[in-house]
Amino acid sequence: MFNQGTNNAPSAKSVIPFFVLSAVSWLIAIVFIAFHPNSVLNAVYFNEVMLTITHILVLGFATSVIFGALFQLLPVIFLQRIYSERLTKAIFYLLLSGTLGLCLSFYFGSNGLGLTVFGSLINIAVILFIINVWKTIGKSTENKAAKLFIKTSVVWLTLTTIAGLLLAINFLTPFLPFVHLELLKVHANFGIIGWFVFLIIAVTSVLIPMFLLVHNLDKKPLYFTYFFLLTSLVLGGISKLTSISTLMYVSYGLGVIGFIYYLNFIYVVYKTRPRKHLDFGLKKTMMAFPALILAIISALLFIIGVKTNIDLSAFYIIVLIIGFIATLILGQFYKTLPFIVWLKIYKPFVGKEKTLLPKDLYNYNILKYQFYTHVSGFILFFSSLLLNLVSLFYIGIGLLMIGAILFLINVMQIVFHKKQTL
Amino acid sequence: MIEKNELDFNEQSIYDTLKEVIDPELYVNIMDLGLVYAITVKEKPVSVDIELTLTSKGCPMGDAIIQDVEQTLYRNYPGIIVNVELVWEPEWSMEMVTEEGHIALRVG
Repeated sequence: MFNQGTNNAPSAKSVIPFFVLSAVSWLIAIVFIAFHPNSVLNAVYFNEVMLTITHILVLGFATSVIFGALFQLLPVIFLQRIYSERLTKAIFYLLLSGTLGLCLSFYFGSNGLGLTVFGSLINIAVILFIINVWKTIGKSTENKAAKLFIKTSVVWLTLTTIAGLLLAINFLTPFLPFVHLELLKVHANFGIIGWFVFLIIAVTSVLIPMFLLVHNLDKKPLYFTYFFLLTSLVLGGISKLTSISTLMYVSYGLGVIGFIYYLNFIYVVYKTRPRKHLDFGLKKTMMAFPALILAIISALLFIIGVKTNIDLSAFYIIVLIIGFIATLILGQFYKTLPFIVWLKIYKPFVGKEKTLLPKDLYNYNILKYQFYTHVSGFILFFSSLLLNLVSLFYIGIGLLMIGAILFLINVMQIVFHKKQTL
Repeated sequence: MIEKNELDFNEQSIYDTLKEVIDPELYVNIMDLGLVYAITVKEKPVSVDIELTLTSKGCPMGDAIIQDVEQTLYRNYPGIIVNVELVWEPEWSMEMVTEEGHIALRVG
């Protein structure tokens, strides 16, 4: 007897390092933000500190855990064996060294040579990742909407890292025929919307209904989401490179419509869920969606030209990363990592003796306090940006930091768990 | 190999025994979740056939649940032959969940 989803998964030791790198990076990013309030509050988004923080977040924290989780989840979602476990390990070391080198190169004066060398390592990691993903899901006929989003997201990831490498080379030897800041905006937009958001939509469209026991969903809203977000991205890219501002507003508008379709899909799942009681891992996951609504509101305010203390287009990006993407990832950590470690340690003993459950591998109280500090922290942090209040900034980032420390404690407790007998 | 009269079990006792098998994500036993569609006890050889489904195709815990069913029955009825068949028809739905299962899913 077998279940393809479990049997096709790669070994735990090849995916756990991605989760550890992610949890450590989250704390480092929060510490960096806390120690550089002026760089964050003064709305100068392309300074060296902001570039360092952004890359710790997007590469060390988000991309790392997404890579690890995908290698674990692709067999589950698409009922296919992962194409190559050796590639998985190579990708981790390339991502780790590339991210570390790239962030140090940014922090110490945007060193052009360092950015080029370590940016190249990231590009190699991405190429190997794409091979592993496409070869794994290529033949599957399961979850067609998710497959479309995932395949598209890795294309955007490629475009993002290529644009990043071009920018790095331009630092070393200026060659771009236009202002590099426009390519930097394209790079950011492709990475955040094209890579993260497309991928998150794919994974959540399968996992959230699965966790909440919702079946037979209408997938049409997902295809509408796909169409509007894809068109928004393409038009956004064209507007940045051609400086046609009208296109940029159309792009934001289409992006908002795409997000509304996605939110509607999630809302239907949530409202019709048979599993009424949500644990804190799922609660935290669901808290990401109000943050997405906040991002949509800030995009709408930007479109109609409302002036605030902070550039609303930048605020929109910060809310998407720290509010939506980070909150979702921090919640889903508890729905992936404990299960990976539990299967590794306890599967040989299942049924033969009474074993712990995956939820017993971490401290539930720590998770609960992590939830409260994270949610209150990001509400105060975003308020401080909108109101330009330094005191609020410190309270908000302080709470986020406590949440990040609690999170790391739980992650390490899971990773270093030793078998216990009941 | 054991003879049926050596053991005191039937479909009902197997049903009760399988209540020990807990879904690791939902913390509800598989009988109350309605994951077991059929239990058939056979005399020669002494064996039990279980038709089992999962709450969703590709459930990452599926393999562990199947193993739990097999090992729990081996442990409780030494010498028994257990055949677990994973089935997808009819598709699992909340209508298959018992009243106790509904309560457990509501309160966690």
